[in-house]
Amino acid sequence: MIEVQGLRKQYGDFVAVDGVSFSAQPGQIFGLLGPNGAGKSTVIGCISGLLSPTAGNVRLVGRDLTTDGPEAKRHLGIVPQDLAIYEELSATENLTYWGGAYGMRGSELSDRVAEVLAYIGLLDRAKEPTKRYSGGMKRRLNFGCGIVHRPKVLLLDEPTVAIDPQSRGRLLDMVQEQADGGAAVLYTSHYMEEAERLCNQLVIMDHGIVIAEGTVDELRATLGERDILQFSGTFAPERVRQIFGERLTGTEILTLEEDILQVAMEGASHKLPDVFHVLNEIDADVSETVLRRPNLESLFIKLTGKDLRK
Amino acid sequence: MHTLWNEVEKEIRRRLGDRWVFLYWVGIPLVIGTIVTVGTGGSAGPKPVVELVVVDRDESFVSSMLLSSFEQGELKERIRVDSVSADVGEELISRGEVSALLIIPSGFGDAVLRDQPTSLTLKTNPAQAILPRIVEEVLNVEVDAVFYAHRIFGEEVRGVVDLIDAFENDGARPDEEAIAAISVQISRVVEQVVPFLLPPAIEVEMIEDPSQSEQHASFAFLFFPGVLMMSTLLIAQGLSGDVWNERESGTLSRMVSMPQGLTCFLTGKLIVAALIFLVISSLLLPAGFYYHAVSFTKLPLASFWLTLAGCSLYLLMLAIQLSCPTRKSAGLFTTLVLFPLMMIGGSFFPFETMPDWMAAIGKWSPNGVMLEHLKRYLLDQHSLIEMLGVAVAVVTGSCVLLVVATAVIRHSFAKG
Ligand SMILES: Nc1ncnc2c1ncn2[C@@H]1O[C@H](COP(=O)(O)OP(=O)(O)O)[C@@H](O)[C@H]1O
Ligand SMILES: [Mg+2]
Repeated sequence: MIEVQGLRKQYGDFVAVDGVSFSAQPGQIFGLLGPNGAGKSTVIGCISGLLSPTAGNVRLVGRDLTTDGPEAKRHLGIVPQDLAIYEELSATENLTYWGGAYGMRGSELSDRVAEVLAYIGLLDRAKEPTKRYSGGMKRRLNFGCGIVHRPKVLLLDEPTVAIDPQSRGRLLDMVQEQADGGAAVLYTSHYMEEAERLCNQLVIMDHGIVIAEGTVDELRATLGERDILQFSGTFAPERVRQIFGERLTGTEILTLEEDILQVAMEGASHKLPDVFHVLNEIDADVSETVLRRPNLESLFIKLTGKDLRK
Repeated sequence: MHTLWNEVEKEIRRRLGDRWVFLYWVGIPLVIGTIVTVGTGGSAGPKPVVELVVVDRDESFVSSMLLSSFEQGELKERIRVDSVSADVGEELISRGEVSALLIIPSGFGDAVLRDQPTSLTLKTNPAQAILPRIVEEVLNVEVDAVFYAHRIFGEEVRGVVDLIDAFENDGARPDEEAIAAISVQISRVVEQVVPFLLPPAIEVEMIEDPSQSEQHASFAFLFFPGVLMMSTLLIAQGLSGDVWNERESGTLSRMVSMPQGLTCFLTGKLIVAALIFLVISSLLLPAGFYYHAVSFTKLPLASFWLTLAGCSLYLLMLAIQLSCPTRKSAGLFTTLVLFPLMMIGGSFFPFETMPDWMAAIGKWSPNGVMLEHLKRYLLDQHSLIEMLGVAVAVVTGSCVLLVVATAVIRHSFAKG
């Protein structure tokens, strides 16, 4: 299990991570979500011992990372955001090496390597230097290297970035299987739909701080059963605010600028004609309309007023 | 132990994937060694001049012929002969200002002409490895020449000697006719004998500092350890650059988060580097040993010495790589260090050809100190105690570098 307490990481004056705390239990996939630059990789770096935190502490399988480092790290598996494999070696050689580095040996190691190769679907190309692999194959091997020693704690840093849809689906299944096998998994992503599919519990970060946390259902509930409507075009903010207040009670304005309007409301698809009617009355010029069902993406927009992918 | 072997096995596999670089590592020194050997053996390049001072106590026709033989053909450009008094000659050689002092005893010419034993004294400068050898070689050729000259021209030589004896014994003044006869006789002898002319059974008595007795060292030989060290430096630089591959492939940061630790990781790399140095020196040394006629019993220690040098230079280069912000700057900076090290450390020019002050500095450079002891070992001028001392110092320095490199990788390099 992973316990993070009051984690803070500073680069000079710049605070990359500030006061992050959470804990992930065995068998659980814990999501760490946030846009690029939110501080996700920094948190992962502090947990893996690559970075030393400015403050706070990290415990893995009940052992303190700073005082009991080697023992804590023995149970740790990492799938870094950037690949960490030897491209001049084959998949078999990579897995054998990383397994060996965790102290595995002999037939235990070779059996496990064969098992992992089959698991990540690289058995037929296992003897080829990995520099000839496709991006998806390298990603799968990167994953394999992180789990070859059957870690009790698995850290995954955006493992599905730049990956083909098939490899991605397979990868998400494998992450689920690791948790089902009893590992505590920390999964970072900026894809909300992945988190919704995988994570039992999650934390949403922005600018280094936690802005929301809970189970997926709890987080949905804070959003209510409301959809999000987003209009692009030209608006007169004052008039919008006024007429929405008078005529469309029960809608909440999330964002309102000259060129963008975001509102949250229940049953938006049914109320869309009313909304257009009202906008028409105040001469708003709408160029694009988006309706989003309640999801983490809309939660994020609600919390930060900005789109995750931007 | 097991994880260390795991590390070594991985490094060997990675190295074997890049076989061409071995060809380069073996090829470069072979090519340079061949060029140097041909170059110094042929006429290319400026040659050092031998300073020979002569104390001519004989001042005969024969002794002047002997001296003029140093001034024929190619020798003229390589040997400068000065006649001096005995005191001055002794002083010059004892101060090491000249390459050799040749003493021609009085009565030398007479003895030569009469085919009687006589002896020349040659004192050589122990500080110079090869230059005095040239004088020695010339004298040896002369001795041989005299032997054959007597066999071939014995009649004529004796004729001249008889004529001279006759005048001396009779005390009579030679008439014009007799003088003419002698002149003709002499000039005939001289014409025929001069290319060889010299004393019979002249013994060249060599005097030099016995503690400095050297194995025969050719000029090309002096480049041999230098070329080996150059190759060692190039390999050290090449190997140390791999740390950038580790960083860029993400494997280094994965390594930092592993329980086995970085010391094991770097030690594995060092062991494989040592194996590479051992293999390459085992390939290069026999070639040079064969060519320069060095005893093959010196092979194991020489290989070990080069391997030790290689490992320490590898760690030195690694420390430099780690202190640079980018791969590009590291490549540039290691090269900037590499070439002056080669130059001052005796790889481009042997210490023997450097100005004293430069050689003194160079022999303290990390590669220079190893080179100098290797050369002395090959020339049988070494002291095992001294070598042991150097080895202990080098191993200690290497351990420090290893610890520093580990710390730098952990605390900054891996995070970049
Ligand atoms: N070595 C560093 N020095 C200075 N700032 C850094 C360093 N590493 C990361 N940062 C900054 O810290 C913030 C968080 O980065 P990161 O954890 O990589 O975000 P994420 O993984 O969520 O995209 C970013 O603003 C990034 O620019
Ligand atoms: Mg990141």
